[in-house]
Amino acid sequence: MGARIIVGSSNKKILKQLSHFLNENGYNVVGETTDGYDILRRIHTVYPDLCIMDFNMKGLNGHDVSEVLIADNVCPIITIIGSSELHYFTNLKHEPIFSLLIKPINKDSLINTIDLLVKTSRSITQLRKEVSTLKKKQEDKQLINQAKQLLIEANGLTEEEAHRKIQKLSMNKGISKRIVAIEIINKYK
Amino acid sequence: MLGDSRYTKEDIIKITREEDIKFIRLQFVDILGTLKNVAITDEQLEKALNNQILIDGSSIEGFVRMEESDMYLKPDLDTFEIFPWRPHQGKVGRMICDIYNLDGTPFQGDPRYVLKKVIKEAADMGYDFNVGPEFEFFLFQIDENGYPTTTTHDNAGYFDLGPIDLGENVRRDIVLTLEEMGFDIQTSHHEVAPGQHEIDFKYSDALRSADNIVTFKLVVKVIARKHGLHATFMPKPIFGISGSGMHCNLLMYDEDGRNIFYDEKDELNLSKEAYYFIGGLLKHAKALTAVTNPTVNSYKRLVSGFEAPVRIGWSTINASPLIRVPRGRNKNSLIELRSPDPSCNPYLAVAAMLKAGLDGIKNKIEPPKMMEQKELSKVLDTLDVESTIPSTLKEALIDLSKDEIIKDALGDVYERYMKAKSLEWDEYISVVHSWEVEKYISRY
Repeated sequence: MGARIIVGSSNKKILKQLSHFLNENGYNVVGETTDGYDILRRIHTVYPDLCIMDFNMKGLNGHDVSEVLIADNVCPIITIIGSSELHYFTNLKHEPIFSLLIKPINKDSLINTIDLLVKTSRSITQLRKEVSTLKKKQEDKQLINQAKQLLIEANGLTEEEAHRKIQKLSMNKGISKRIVAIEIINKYK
Repeated sequence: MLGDSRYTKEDIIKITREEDIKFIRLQFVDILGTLKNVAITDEQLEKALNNQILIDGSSIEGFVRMEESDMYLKPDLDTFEIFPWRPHQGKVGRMICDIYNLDGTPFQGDPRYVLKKVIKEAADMGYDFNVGPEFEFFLFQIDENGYPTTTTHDNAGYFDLGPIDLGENVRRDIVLTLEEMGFDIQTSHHEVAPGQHEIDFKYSDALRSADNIVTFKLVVKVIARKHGLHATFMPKPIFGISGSGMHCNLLMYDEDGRNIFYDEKDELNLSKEAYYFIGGLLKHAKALTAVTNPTVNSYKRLVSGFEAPVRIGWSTINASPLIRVPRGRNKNSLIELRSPDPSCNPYLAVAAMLKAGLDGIKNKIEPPKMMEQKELSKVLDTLDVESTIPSTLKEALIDLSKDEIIKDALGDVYERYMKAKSLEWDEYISVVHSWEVEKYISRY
């Protein structure tokens, strides 16, 4: 199935042309709008795979919308600009899920950029999730070790006894070992 | 987050460097409850931590400019937070500040100081007052000119769980952000009216809960805007549907952390202090309303038919009493004041509530008999002013002017508050509203 795309431009004709072009090339246009605030609402309702915007939109322009989407890592973005608007984007140019295309747009470039961004952003999201999980696991491990140390020092337990005590508390109270560890650390601090 | 003493000056300088924080917002609230801030860069941080940043005192006044004088901002280190949204110019931190005069004494017109004074009064009696607010707010669409409308995005009803409900997504993002900032969110759900949501957070001590309320409103507005919606805490934005209240769950602990309102021997598990506290709140209910419901629009919410309180009284029934005592709370006996709305200045509102309750305890004010269901659902008579809270801002201000206890709670803020609110009332009363034109233009 083609990538789901939301399109934004204050120019209704461009909006139609772009949607038509995208649908013809196997993509799935799930929203069209002329209004920057509306595009934010739509994106946060349907979570598309990609957003293509003109710099010119009513309400919020393409730059301001891009900032919001990038800060929250919502979806990859292609912003279409005239060469005179390039300087607005100096702070966003190196963002991995953001791409600028300068008019006049070459159809092949557009398709290549779409495919590249969708692939890359999926991969980035995946990697972010993995990193986040690993970070959390590491944090939990550190907390549990800290708690174990405190138990060993305060109560003269062995490493294994401390480990089992935390496990038991976690099972009996139905809470994660991480929370047990935090409670233990707070108690002894 | 907000609770134990967290940071020293050195901690904050270290964190600012490590987290590469470029800007810090020194926040304070004016008497109308509007959040203000002075933005400084990391280079001015030390100066700020040494209480050397100056502001113009008139920025606290709200609409009323009295003397223009310089004041110092004294950051409360425990309120240091890094905002979890990332602007591309660098991370932003914040600290809520107290306002001090140039001679080093606290500015008596600072709402946060007003609250601290009443907290001290309670502490001298051995009491630790805790508040848990329940927030309601509306999410409206922003039009293409950037202005909020009263068009809601969804048409869902109570406890709706639509899969692609934008309001749902916004509320979820709000809760996630708040939890990231250390808030303890108890519940969040879609409220009765379309576009209306509720988020309740766990109670904390009076000062922290007021700080939390200020922070909460800011976070909600920022996140809503990022989703193309405008969050409003206006008490009654739309005629004919529920308004937005801020019910406050009130608890009182002693120095050992024991709940003073709890007494297992009582039928309702309430102690003598709890009954007196209720007595105090009811005795001062009219004046209190001027502080907990401070806008003209607040009184459009306080009408019958929408579960908002009107009659002065208390009950255990979940209907529309002014004060509700929930049953079956185990040792967590609490008193719920249902009149406040989120347009209030949280420092002043909490201070006034506490002061009224303390007066009840000090003077052993017995509350009236509990209200029955039939009393609560009795039709209201326009002339019945004795048993109801004020029906307009003006009435409330008049009631406030006659209540020495609540006036005393506000201290120096009282005069400025009255002035600002009188201006607001005069402005309102001089405007001809479209309702009047529609109703009278043909007939007369």
